[in-house]
Amino acid sequence: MAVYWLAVPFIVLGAYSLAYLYDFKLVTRPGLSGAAAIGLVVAAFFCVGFILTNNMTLMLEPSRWPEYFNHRNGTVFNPWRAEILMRYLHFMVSGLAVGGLFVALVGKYRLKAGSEVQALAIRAGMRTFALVTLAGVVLGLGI
Amino acid sequence: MVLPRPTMLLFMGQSGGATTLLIVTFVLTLAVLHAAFTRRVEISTVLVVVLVYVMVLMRDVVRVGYLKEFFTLEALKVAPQYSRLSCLP
Repeated sequence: MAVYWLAVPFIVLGAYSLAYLYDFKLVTRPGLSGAAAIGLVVAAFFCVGFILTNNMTLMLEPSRWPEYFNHRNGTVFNPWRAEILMRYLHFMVSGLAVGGLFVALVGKYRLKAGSEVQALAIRAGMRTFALVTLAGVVLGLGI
Repeated sequence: MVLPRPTMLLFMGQSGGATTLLIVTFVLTLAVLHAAFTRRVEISTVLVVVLVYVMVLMRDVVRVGYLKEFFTLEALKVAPQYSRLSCLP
């Protein structure tokens, strides 16, 4: 797990760099380069979420720890199982919900009061928060 | 439900604390959903923060349940290591 665990800061650095590149250069450029960049950013963060979830679930299974002695190169990984998948999706969906709530908060306190943008931010943010939280509850029941 | 049965039973009445946590989480989740669908930003934020804390506690119960056969806090031996400073007159 060490290899994946230590890769997390580098993946996050790469993702943020791409996000800045998207924001400063690619967002106004027509074509697929912008979509590809932001798609890679999302994929990188999903990857980090999976590494963290995998590590946390591996921590709960001491019976699998002796495997470390057969894989001393730091690549022990928890294989795909329903439990891990549900936990992973639960965390990712919760993150998305809080993101929606954050958009609503920014809209309410940072944008011009009474403006159309403010109303849109609150509406879209709260709708995302509500629907994705509902999805998270359904996924949570599977855990 | 993919939790191991003994761990799941903790939340189903076997442990008073764990069951209370589950009920509180359930009520808070309903409150969050209600606040979210009625677009109350501040109330949603406060409820989400409280809910995250309660879920952290639930997670701790699950972790203890999973590791019970390998490790319990009671199994730790208390070994005081007084520093030399405490021996000074």
